[in-house]
Amino acid sequence: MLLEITIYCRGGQGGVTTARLIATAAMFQGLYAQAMPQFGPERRGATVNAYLRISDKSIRRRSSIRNPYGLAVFDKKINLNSSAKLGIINSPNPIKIAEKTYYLDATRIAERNELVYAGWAILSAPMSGAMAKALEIEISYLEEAIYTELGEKADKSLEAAKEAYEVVRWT
Amino acid sequence: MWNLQGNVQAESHRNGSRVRKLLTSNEAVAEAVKIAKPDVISAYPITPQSPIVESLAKMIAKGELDASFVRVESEHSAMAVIHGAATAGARVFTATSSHGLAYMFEMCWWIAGSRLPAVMAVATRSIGAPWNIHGDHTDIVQLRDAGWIIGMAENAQEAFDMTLQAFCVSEEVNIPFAVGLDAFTMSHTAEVVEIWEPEIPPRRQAYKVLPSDNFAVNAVTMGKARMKARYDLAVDLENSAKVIEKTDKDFGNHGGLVENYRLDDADFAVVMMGGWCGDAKDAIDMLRQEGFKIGLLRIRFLRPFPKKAVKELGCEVLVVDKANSDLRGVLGIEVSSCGVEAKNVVAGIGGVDVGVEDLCRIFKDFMNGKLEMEWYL
Repeated sequence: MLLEITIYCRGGQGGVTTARLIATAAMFQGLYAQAMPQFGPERRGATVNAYLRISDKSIRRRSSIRNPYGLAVFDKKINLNSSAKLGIINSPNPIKIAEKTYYLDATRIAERNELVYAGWAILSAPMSGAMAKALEIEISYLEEAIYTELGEKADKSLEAAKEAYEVVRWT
Repeated sequence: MWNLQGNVQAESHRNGSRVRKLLTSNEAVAEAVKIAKPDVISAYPITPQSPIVESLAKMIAKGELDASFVRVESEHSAMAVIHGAATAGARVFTATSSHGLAYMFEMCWWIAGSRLPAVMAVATRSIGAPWNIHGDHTDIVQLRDAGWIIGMAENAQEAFDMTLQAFCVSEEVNIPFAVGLDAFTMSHTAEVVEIWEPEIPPRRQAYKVLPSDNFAVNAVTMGKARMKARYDLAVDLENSAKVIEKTDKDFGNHGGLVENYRLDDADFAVVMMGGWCGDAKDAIDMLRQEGFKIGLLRIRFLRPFPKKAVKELGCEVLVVDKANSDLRGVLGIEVSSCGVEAKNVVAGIGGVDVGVEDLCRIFKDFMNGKLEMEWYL
């Protein structure tokens, strides 16, 4: 089965990194995965997408995702019109964006773990923790993925991802 | 909600000496180049190729790769550096895209005509004007007449395998080898790749010239000398097909000059090349379920062109192109030159997204006889 997820974020929030972390974790879990940035110039603060595919078979298609099964929204102010089954949103309160929505205050978790760059919370660690929970990816594989992708700088991200995995709620 | 059972060597990303990694095609090419241990790399940055040579520069800086990285002011000079280093017997690599390939075009002829082995990755991108950084095959098809071997990968695994194969083939036949990979949908898309480290034989080449040698190459030719050199290159380029096919099994078993996908009993064949062949395969599987007997002939090598495989198709043929010459697609012209009467669609120019649903629609129109020559806009 092919799972297609679209990430909506702002340039600089770490959406592309998140797609890559989850894809790597899925690979460690024995699955196939694909992480694609939005193609084109990425500008800080502008709305950008990243695409994530996970499957138990090798993934051949590489066109953009048009009808995602799931959405991950890094900024609740981004307007969405979706009929997705699964949603993950950075919001302290439940906001329904899909049939089943996972929500958490990813910004606060990032700030508490000092994952801030030039005044911006970098959300890749907490959002990947929440997405791992929602996508049934084991936290140990996500930890391995974070370590693989970030190397020595992984410590704070590991903490933030684990915290997000624990505190994320759904509605 | 869904049932995703990990079935790939679950809990382990190691398969013998193979390590599974999540890599973009750009990163996969860089990993392959590192394994091939080039002596000299020279390149000028251009989107979407830049991450290839950035990765290689990083490997050199960290001491993982012992090579000279020559920074230059243009692609023309990058290819000139490669040309000079190859003449002296160095294993060489460069990468470019689009306007960069256009700018180095003259030197591409020099290195091919000099019969020097070299490997270049081309992250295939449209050429302006109007300005566009996205993917199509407009740039790499320009290389057709220069005398290069031109491969087109479908995914990061193939980009990795083909880059390694490129060094072996190029150094055996004394012809430069370009590895094509689609802009962004491959160059910047991370996917699972099995990395392995084959032994690449030491550099060999027909001749070399060292600074201490009293020897001149490429002087003005008289009479038939130039024509003879050109003929020899054309013959050797044709014959490189055998070397490509022979070495294919050592580099991933991807099928040689072509990949046949569900063609055995097909009444309809689609001919395509590059990364979107993955989408085409998904479309073909869906149409097969609906009862259509359709398959894909994936062109893995634009040069030497797989004329035999095209001639043997023996069914109705549609070519879907990502580069045009006049109204016709370039691959369409190539297929027609083999005596095959083919329908032709030009699509995806300048990165226009062509998905599985689009390809299903195009393939159905073709099978229903509603298609001749058109642009999918």
